[in-house]
Amino acid sequence: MTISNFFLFSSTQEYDIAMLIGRLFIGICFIVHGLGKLGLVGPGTMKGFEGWLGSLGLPMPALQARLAMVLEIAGGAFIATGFLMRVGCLMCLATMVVAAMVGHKGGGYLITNTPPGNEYAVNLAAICVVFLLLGPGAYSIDAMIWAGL
Amino acid sequence: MKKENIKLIAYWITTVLGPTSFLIGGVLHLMRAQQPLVQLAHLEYPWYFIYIIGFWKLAGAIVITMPGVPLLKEWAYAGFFFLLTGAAASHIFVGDPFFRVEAPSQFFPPLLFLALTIASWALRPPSRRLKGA
Repeated sequence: MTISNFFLFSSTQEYDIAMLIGRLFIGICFIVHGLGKLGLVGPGTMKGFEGWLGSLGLPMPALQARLAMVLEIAGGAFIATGFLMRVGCLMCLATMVVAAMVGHKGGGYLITNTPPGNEYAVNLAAICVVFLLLGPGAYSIDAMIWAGL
Repeated sequence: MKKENIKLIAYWITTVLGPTSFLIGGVLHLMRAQQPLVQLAHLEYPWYFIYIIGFWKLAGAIVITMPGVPLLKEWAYAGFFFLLTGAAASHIFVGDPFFRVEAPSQFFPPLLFLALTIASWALRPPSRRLKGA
């Protein structure tokens, strides 16, 4: 390995390992937030989330709340396991775009603002786009299924 | 969360990642996609295996995923058991390694899907079981 290689390039194996690490952390993050909306982890409940969406003036808050929960849990699981990973990225991206544009409206950028800004949602959305472009890598269910087993 | 709910969630995760995902493999085989063609040639199977395997993968995936038909489900699980142990054995016979990043040519994937299929079978809820099983 030459010095310029270190600064410029990565091997296929490095890419595969990077995708595995990124997918596990970000996928699990989405799953936990989805479970939080169900009231299974943390202080949140489905009713509370629904009421909050309603107070923001979103149409059909009951449906939207459940849709966001399902998209986060399924999308997160798809990303973490690498099964239909790019579909999972699109599912999670959709929730984060709505969260950034509607959920954190008027909060600015910083999450420490009151009300909290949208930086967390924006950054997760950006990661979803990056994953969408990179694909799942070799350590994924997709790599095995689409290779013909 | 109740134990029954955890079991049901585990059933659906293993079922979707395992047996249901053979919908993809089945369609790829029946479409004579590049990857399964290369794979079958590598394992030294005749060309028409792509249709036989593709048809039964698709049929098995549908039967296991749809509600009801518990007896057919047992057949489908048995079919996948033969398919996946056969696939792993085939890779071993032609000298493939356990795991290699550049797919295909490895026998880890069939064993992983075998584990998912067996887990799905063991976790199947009462509504998807034969009476008395």
